[in-house]
Formats: sequence, structure tokens, C-alpha cells
Amino acid sequence: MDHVSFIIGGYVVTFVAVGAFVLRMFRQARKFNSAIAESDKPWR
Amino acid sequence: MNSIQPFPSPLTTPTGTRASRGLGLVVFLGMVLLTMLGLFFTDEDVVQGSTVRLMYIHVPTAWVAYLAFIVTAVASAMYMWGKQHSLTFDRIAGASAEVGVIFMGLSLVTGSLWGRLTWGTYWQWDPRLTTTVFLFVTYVGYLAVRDLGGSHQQRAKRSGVVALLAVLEIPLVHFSVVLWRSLHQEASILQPNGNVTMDGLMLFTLLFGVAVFTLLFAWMVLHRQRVLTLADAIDDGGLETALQERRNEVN
Amino acid sequence: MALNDDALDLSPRETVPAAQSVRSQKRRWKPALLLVAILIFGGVVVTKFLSSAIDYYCNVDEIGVRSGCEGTRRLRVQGAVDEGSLKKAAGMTIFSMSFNDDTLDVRYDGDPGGVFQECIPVVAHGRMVDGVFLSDRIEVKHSNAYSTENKDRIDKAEAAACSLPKL
Repeated sequence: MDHVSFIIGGYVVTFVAVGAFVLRMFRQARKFNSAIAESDKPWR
Repeated sequence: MNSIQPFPSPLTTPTGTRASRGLGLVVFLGMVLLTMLGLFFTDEDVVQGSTVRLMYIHVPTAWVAYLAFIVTAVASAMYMWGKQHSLTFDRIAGASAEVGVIFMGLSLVTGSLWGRLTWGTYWQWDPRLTTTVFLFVTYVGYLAVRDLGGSHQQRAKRSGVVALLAVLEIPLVHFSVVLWRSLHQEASILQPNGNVTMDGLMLFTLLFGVAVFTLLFAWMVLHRQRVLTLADAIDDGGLETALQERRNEVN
Repeated sequence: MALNDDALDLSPRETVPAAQSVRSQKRRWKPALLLVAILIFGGVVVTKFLSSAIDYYCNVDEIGVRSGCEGTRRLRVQGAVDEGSLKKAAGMTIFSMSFNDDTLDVRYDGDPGGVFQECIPVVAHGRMVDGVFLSDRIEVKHSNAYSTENKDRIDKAEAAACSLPKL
């Protein structure tokens, strides 16, 4: 495969960015969760 | 008080349900398969060689960004013209825009890498690239507008107007390669004449990538709008606390 | 609600706790500053669009004919690299490119990069000097067709490449 660094880099950047967003989102969810009553979580 | 783990598991997030965990698993497996197809199983392009492999993530990220911004506009419209003025629609709009900005940024980065290998340059101010970066900047602005303060209803109305105007840029971006002379190639799938100029497994991988990234988008927005629900509930809780303090003063 | 809130004094307090005040100001200033930065950057992008993107290139047959494509100014010219015209000499890449039966001789100082090859459409940046286009940047304009690489296909693609549709 030619230009491996560019191609793998493109995939890595994509997955790392999505992963970082998801990680931050889950950390916020855990932080907020303890302060909120179960009745305010309609998906429960 | 719960301790916050540095790497929380998606299996135990408070915004998760059985259905969202199932969707998450499907997305994960789909991403693994897409990566295998994109990097190893598909053939190289006759002109581009291996560089075509970047297309299997570049095109889906661009598609998801468009989709996200359209969902933002539709949800904003449903908030503004719905009888209930439900803030759930506003939170879906906000969550979708956040995810859209991430994917639009990724589309610009992966497109830039592809451009360096194919065109010979990372960036040029051609019509497609210029309108795309303008769309990206517009939605970063939308997120800033959402964060300006005020009540949840003020936020929803203010950002709703921006969302309904900003979505009009999407046809301009998509058709920029037809309207003006562009370095960027025209569409391979969504051509006005309905032709598809792509070989079998390449086309399958591209469409599979679009499907998997669309599911990823749905999963991310589902969780993100729930996190925004929690954040809004905390804000409302702060107001309730202030009211309680006043009640205590009266008594 | 257990209490009658009509009796509550809901007027804002004259003194706001310092920490709360600072926090609320921070929350408003950051996105406001970001918004100003975005507006400025958006202005730059619009300027680039109007000055560069609308007419990204002139075709070979438009040099000296079309408004904005005068041979006396710096140009971006589009055409397909002519078959058999590509030569490399003393670090220079020399070729001719055509569009609508008009041909232009091009000299580029260096290796163009990208997927540059004969029969592929390119956009060359540079100036006309004594009838030759001296280019300092070449971009390869890839088509929207994607085909797998195998021997049959390569032969067909090479045969078809020089009969590319006019862009």
C-alpha cells in the first residue's frame, strides 16, 4: 500500500476524534448523573 | 458522590439503555468491518492507487455532517412551530450540531490528506473547499450562539433561527462543483443524471461506510441529547434551589 | 408547589456573590468572543470565495479571450496533459496541455506530485512568458470515476484517458 501514513493517519484521526468526543460526553454524563433525580431521566 | 473514572465504559454510562447498547455494538462491529474492507479487501483505484481508501471515511463523514445539520434544522423547526415548544427538540438540534461539527471537521481533514496525495496540495480556495469551510465555521458559530446564556427557551429560539438559516448553505456546498469551476471532482453517486461512476466492491464499501457512519451519528446524538437533558436539569435545579432559598427567607 | 410563590420577593439581589458573578460573566464572554472570531474568519472565507473560488481557473482556449484570463496576469489554467508530451530535464517538468483543440506549452520547476501523469486534467498556476506558461504550482484534477486496478482495466483506462470528456 502506498502512502500508508496518510491513509492510516486519516482513519486514526477519525476514530480518535470520535472516541475523544464520546469519552468527554460519557464523563459529563457521569458527572451530572449523581445530581439529577431518576424522574428527570425519561429514558430510564 | 460518584468518582469520575478517567475512561468510563460505554456499557455503564448513565445515558445508556439496552437499545442504545445494542446500537453501539452494531456500530462498533460495523466500523471494524468497514476498516477491514477499506484498508485491506477493496482493490486500489486505477489512477489514485491506495489513496482511494481515504474516500471510505471522507465521504461518510461529509454525508453525516450534512445529515446532522439537516436534523438540527428539522428539530429546530419542530421546537419553534410545535404546539408544546418541547425543549427535547432543541436539545436534539444542539446534540446533532455538535456531532455534525465533529464530522465536518473530520471531512475537511481527511479530504485535505486525500487532496495532498491526489491533487498535490493540502488546500486550495476552490468553490467546494471554500463553501465547506464556511459551513463548518457557521455551525461552530451556531454552537457559540447556543452557549451565549439566557433561559433554555431563549437559547432554543435564538439558535433555532440560526439553524434554519444555516441549513440553506448545504445545497450551495453540494452543488458548488456544478455551479462553479472547481478543483474538486463532481459527485460519484448523487449525480443529477443518476449515474454511478464507481466499481462494485468500492461502491459497496462506500455505501456500507455511509450506513455505519449514519448509525454512529444516531448513537452519538442519542447519548448527547441525554447528556444535554441532564445539563439542563442541573440548571433548572439551580433555579429551584434559589427559589427555595427565597421561600426560606419568607418563612 | 407547597408554598404560595406569589408572596415571594423575586427581585434580583443588589449584591451578587463574587464567585457567582465572575462565573456568569465568564460563561457569556467566552462564547461571545468565539462568535466575534468566527465572524472575522467567516469574512475572510467569504472574501476568499469571491476573490478566488468563483472562477477557479481559465481553460487553455480562454487565455487572452475571456475576461479575467488575460495573458498578462497571473493565471490558473486548466487542460489535459497531452499524450507523449511529458519530459523531464534539469529538474524541470515540461509538457503541453490542451482543451477544446487549443494547446499550451508548460514548464514547471520541479516534480508536480499528486497523481500527475499524461492524459490527466491539471490546473497549472503561473504566468505566460514568450508563449510558454511558466508554472510554479500544478494541481491534478481527478475525475469522479473510480475503477479497480487490474491489468485489463489499466489498459482500458490508459487507452481511454486521452479521450477524457471535456471538463
